[in-house]
Amino acid sequence: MGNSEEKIAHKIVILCEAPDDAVFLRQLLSHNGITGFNVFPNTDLTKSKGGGNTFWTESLNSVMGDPGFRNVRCIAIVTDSDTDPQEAFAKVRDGISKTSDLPSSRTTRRLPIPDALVNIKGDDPALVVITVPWADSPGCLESMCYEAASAGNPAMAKCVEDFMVCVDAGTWANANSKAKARLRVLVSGLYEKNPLIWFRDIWDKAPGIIPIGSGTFSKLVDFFKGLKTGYSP
Amino acid sequence: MIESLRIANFRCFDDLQLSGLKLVNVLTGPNASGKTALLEAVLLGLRGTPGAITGQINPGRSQLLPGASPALVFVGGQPVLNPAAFEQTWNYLFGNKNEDPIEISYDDYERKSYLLKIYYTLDVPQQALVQMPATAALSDVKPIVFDRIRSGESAGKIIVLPNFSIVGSQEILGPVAFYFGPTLNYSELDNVSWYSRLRADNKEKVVEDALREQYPFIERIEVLSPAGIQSIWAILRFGKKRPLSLVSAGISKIVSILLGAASVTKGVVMVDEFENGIFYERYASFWQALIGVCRKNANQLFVASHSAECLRELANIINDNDKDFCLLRTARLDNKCEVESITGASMRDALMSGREIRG
Repeated sequence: MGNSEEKIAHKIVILCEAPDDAVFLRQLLSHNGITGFNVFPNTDLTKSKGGGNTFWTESLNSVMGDPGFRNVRCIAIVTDSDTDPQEAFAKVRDGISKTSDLPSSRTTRRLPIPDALVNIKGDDPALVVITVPWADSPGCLESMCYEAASAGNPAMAKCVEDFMVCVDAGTWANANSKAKARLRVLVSGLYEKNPLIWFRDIWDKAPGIIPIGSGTFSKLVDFFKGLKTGYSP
Repeated sequence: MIESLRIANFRCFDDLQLSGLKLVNVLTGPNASGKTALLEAVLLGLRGTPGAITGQINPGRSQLLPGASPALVFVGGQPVLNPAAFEQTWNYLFGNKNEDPIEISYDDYERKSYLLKIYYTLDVPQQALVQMPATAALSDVKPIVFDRIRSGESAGKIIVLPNFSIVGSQEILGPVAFYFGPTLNYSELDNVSWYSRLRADNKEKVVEDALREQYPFIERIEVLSPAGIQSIWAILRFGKKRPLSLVSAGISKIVSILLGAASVTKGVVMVDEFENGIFYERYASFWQALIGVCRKNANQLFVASHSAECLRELANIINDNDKDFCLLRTARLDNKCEVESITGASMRDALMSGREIRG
């Protein structure tokens, strides 16, 4: 069993890849004073852990079973661009297409499937998919966070790159693994108290390490502000 | 099996329409949001008789039993009608003070349709009035009519006169329906009848196996009448025998429901407050046994529950059979009750992810 203790209480629901992503997005919204959102991680229901860019079907079904879904006007799905944002988008579209019918209180039978990234489709509810860093850039949440964190610590960032060379990370096939390694080394180097600090704890325990107000996140912030204006003014 | 349902002017429902009903329909929602009213409407629509109200619905709500208050009182030695006794029997059913007709209609998956209309009227056949006392003034209190239509054709009207005389055949309108209310004590007469029928057809094993699997200290059940009154007895291991209701009220409840469900085919079984009297570790097996029996006998199931523990056990039972399930979540909005239907897949995935689905 998973553990979605939070009930839907707002008109906009964000579904993201994992609990760490959910913590980051909540911090981002809170820092920018953007209210009216529930943020839930995508979950592999059989293993009670983050579902990555899969399990969208189950997570959307689950959200539709929540009593608060009755008042939801927009669902935003946030996933990593990985190496190809369009490929990531196709996986999400496939997940949406396999969801069950909407509850009977809705005027439409099925969730809308957006035609393009960042395009909002439908209205009961509306649905939109974005990838991070953005629709035109490969990468992931960790690569964004590394960019934000390293900008304020250029000396440490050089050490991180040296480390990556030292461990021969250039041969790694998975770009996201490289991004995660960079962020892990940087955070460990900057947080002597607990170099193994969980990603999700960073903003509570070491808030300066990844500056949530960084301009790196401005496209995301603008996007969520737009959603709030449109669906939860 | 009921596919769609419309309930108008009944209790807290103004005009409720539900479609896509499934083999297993799970009801949940806050108090006073219409769960029991929905079950009552299904029962009433299927039976289509005044007996459904006087025999089950009103007693289940601790409302007037027929005869509890006299239909006739004597004033100056003359018999006159007692409108309160009559009207109180029916008035609580109507959704508004205007007493607009109650309408309960449903379509089944075999394309048959059923409609029950209940209304007060003075327009009753003269022959019906023969049964009224000579002094009764019909203008004081109107008879109530159960107007029944099956697949577009009249299935007969049942008229209840203000002295509770009934005119018309009380044949049930739709498929056989059993309603098990929130209390633990169901009719022992029914239990005996169901068990005997199953025993005569060598079909009692399905209930006994389910019972033995969960309660190994019970070897089997039997109908005995040591004091001249038949009842269900448990034959315990090592030869002891006890009336089942004395072994456990909860086990007795489970047996009643399973016996009822096993003794009918293509019927409808309704259980209100499923969890009452049952130990939490037995929820899953009771769900499995009941759904198994209903599936085998093509019986449709409507089950209401308030218990998160009880509902959570459904997640694994739904599994890949989500097309056989739906969640009917009731809510009271603007002093009227509404029902939202949620798919079996959404119910399963919400339960699996630990979501609160009850409202």
